[in-house]
Amino acid sequence: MAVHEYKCPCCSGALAFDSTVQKMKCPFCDTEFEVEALKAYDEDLNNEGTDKLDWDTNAGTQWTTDEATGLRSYICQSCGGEIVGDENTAATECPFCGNHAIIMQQFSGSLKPDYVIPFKLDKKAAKEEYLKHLQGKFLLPKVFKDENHIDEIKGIYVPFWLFDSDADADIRFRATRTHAWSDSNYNYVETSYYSVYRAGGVAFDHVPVDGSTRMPDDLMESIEPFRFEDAVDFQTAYLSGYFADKYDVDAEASVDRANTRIKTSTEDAFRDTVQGYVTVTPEYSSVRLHDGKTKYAFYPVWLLNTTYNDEKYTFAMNGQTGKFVGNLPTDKGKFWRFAAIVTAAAGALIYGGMWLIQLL
Amino acid sequence: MTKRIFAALFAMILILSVAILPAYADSASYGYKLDDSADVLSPEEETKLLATIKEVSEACKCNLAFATVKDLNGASFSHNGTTQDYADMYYETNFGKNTDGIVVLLVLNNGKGKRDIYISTSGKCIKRLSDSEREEIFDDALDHHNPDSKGYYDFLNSIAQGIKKAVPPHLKWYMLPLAFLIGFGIAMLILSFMKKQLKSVEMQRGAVNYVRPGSMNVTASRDSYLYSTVSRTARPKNNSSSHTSSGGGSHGGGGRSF
Repeated sequence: MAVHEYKCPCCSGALAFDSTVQKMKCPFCDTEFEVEALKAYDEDLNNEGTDKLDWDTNAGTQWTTDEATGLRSYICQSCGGEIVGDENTAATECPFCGNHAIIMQQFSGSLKPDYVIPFKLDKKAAKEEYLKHLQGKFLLPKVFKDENHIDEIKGIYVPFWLFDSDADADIRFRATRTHAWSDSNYNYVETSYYSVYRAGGVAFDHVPVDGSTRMPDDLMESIEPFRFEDAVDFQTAYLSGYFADKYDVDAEASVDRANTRIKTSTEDAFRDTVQGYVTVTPEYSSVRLHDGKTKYAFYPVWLLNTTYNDEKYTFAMNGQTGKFVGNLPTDKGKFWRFAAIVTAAAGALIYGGMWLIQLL
Repeated sequence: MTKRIFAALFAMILILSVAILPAYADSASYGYKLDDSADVLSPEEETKLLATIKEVSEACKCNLAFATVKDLNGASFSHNGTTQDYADMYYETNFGKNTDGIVVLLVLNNGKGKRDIYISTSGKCIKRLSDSEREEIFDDALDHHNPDSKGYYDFLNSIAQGIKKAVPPHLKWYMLPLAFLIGFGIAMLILSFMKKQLKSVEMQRGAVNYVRPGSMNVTASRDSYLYSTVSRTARPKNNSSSHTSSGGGSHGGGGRSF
């Protein structure tokens, strides 16, 4: 099977995408190459790959049992070592020589992504954001902060489905206004009921839905938004130096989530046009989507793993914007100590206040 | 952090004690008086009642006078002829305007062939003796210590005991647990805020970040009025009413005819 590796035209070292200069860079001789400029060279390399493909396919028959269990084996272009990945692995590194390997087959035909947002932030930035993430959180166990070892840190291109759509909406709300006054004996509240109708349209661009089952959906939605302005036409060269999986949830299965989000935001947008009422409750809503388009894109994500008390904690950073998320453990002892102290202090203060009111 | 909290707690207790203690340490003497013009008590009863009045006055930290009169005529001060104003002016004559204190006045003939019992309050005592507490004192005195069957000493003494129970600064028993329950609520509120800091992973609500700028257009917009309802709730009654005497001082209180 075909494994692709970008070789430096100067020294034949393995090239990697450098997020700081936004170019391909050779870690051995420091030569930088424009991704676009590499395109022609890239095609030549592809042809070389075709020659080897035949040879590899013959040998590949030995691993059909592995393939049946979802495993795939590839031969490293640099050292000839065996790279084992699963059926979704699209970019990885050789466990023997550490060189970057891109599995071209995962991008053939309809599997080729339309866009990629290249990494803007490097591993160092991810580590810094992680430390920042632990700051200023009173209930975080001190041990967790002090140890702050990161088991694993990985730059991953996550497959996303992007949905474009125009939404037309008819929404009816029940709204109320209140007016209060009082005489010497009673307080009066007059509640007026209104029926509020709104119709119109709103358009959405590039609503992303995580296309990989390996990435938790809530974690991927938490690091949103991704800014599509930075997206470029996909080229495999961008994957060099990072990990990538191809999608394993297809567009059809992802569209429901996009629909839900678009419907919610459409309703919210029209709800915001209803002003000057005390309460506004939706009574009826119809949202119709049309001119929907779907695109396949790779978005950059830094993934960090750490273990605390035998539990695994996963953090994610948006590789474009630097937004860092990840749930943290609570120090239960600290929680209850703080609760006891505040209860005692506030209780004493309130009780003292009650006495003061009595005495004054 | 914990040390700082303890320090803050300590400071608070200190401030509290500084604020509350002077109120208790205040050892200024309060006036007390028994004026039995109607002569309904024997000399022994007078001595006993006066001792009780002194004790109640000290417990309440306010002036306290008990007075009995045959009718409202022949007062040494001017008043407008009502039992209320008589009691108010009696207080002002003896203890001054707007000082803290209480007068209990018994009138044997109110001019309408009935007896009046009246409690007039002044200063802080207006708030400390609420209307309902005063009515309870009258109920107890007239129902269980009626002067016709048990004599005037027992009647007046029950009123003195009622005042001793109601007027001194006190809190209901459930105020202490209530205070700490509120404190616990405050602690949980702060902690829920701090716990929220630890959670940053959640699904997005909508797709508001991906709305195409300027694409929102409202083609129809109608707000139609349907109907109205009016609800009314009784206003809470002021629980210790006050008025101004003919001498110009503020007083609370009330009375009963029997």
